[in-house]
Amino acid sequence: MEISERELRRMVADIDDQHRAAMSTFTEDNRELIFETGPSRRRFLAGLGLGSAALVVGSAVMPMGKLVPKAWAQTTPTDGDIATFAASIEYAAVAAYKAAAASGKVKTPAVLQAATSFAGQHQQHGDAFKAAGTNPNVVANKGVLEMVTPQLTAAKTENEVVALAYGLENTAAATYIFALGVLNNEKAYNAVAAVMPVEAQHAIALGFVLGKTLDDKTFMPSFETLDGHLDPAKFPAA
Amino acid sequence: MDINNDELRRELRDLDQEHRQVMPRWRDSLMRLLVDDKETPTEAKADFLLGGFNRRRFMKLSGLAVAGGTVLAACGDDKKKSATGGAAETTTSTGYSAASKTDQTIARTSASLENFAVAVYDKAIMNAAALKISDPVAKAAVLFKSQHQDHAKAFNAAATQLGGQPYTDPNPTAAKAFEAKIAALKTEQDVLNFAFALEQIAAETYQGVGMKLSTPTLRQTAMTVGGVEARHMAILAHFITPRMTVPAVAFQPIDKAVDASFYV
Repeated sequence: MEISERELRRMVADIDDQHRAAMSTFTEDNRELIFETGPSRRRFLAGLGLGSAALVVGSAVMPMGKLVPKAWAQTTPTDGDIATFAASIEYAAVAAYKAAAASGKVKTPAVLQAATSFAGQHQQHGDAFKAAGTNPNVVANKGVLEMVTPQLTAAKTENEVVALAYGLENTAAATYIFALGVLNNEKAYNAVAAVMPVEAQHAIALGFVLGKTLDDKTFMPSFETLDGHLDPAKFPAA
Repeated sequence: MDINNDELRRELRDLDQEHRQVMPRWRDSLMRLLVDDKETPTEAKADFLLGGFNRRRFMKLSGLAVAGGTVLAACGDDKKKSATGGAAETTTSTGYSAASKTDQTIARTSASLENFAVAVYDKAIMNAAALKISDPVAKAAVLFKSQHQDHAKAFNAAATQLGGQPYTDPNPTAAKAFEAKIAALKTEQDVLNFAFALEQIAAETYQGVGMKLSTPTLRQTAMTVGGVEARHMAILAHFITPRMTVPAVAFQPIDKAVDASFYV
């Protein structure tokens, strides 16, 4: 039997198609394999091994598994998605500070002034993250608001309100440390890295109001941690 | 052109034989790289598998896998840390790119800046009486010195894991640049203002080096320290008169970050 050139070309083309199909799967399979081995976006999404089933700001605990976003459960967030998520956190902080200022529970002028100043800075953070993100219509994070608002309503004293803000600032700092572990885009990195220390300094200012001492590890840790960070899978941006 | 059936069979048999010889080695290399080697950076593995194949890349990576290069284990990765002897370190260091060399330099320089901060706080603590340092400020100085020691250890662990050598002395450029300033410290406020400036330099440096570091994990590690230096700034500012507003702006700048002339 002899094979014509045309038949041979067709056989080679068929084999090439099979090879490409196999390699496509191979690449995707290995992408999965590789990115499951480190602190990956998928891990960022899932919040694995971080005990982050619940967020504690002040005294409230967010139930585990609430608000898992269907879209993110099936895909890997991009740097833009993470920036949008960060914007939603910042806008929630703005709303929280505004609500605190309007509640009448904060009576010390210096504390009220700090709350107003911090709200303004969070607004700027939110705008910067929105610009680096994928959703120009991002709004305050619904999950965070659902958690913070009842605590603010229940707060009876200025100190309880400040304690809530203190928890929120430390939570934001931890969330940005978490985000820095997956961001590759320079614009997104620069925004998050410039904001994270500011949130930590907000926490210090509020900690002084609360009378925190240097031996309090939430106030003056040796290293910033991931403790209490927000998981975007549980607190998705709207 | 027609091809004789026998010739085709022979060529296909030869191809099949080559394929069978090569595939086990290829599979072994992949297994070694992807499964056995826990230490090669994820990015390097991804680059290898997703960025296309060529012999140079393969040789570079398989060399790393064989050497068991330990990279980033000290930088937030809780995977097991394999001990590396001198030879393995050399291979790792050689196998890595200029990016890895930069990572080493930044880790060592960061350690040297931390050592410098330790020396400054130590001097203040030792001369607390002469400088009339109050008890709350002294307590802060003792804690901050201890935390800078922790940071230096962490950066040196990273430098070592990246194939470099630890740096245990204060940064020589900083020591020289601030020698006169340190000698001129006479009061608690002098010390507080100088310490604040040092913390600001450190905080902005760890932020500024971010995209010079080759992986998100390293950038994250640097900022776990950078955030703490920013907290130090805010606490020191609390004791400074007239009172400073910290944070003064919504975004921490990087204009006080050290440049390459401070590299060690």
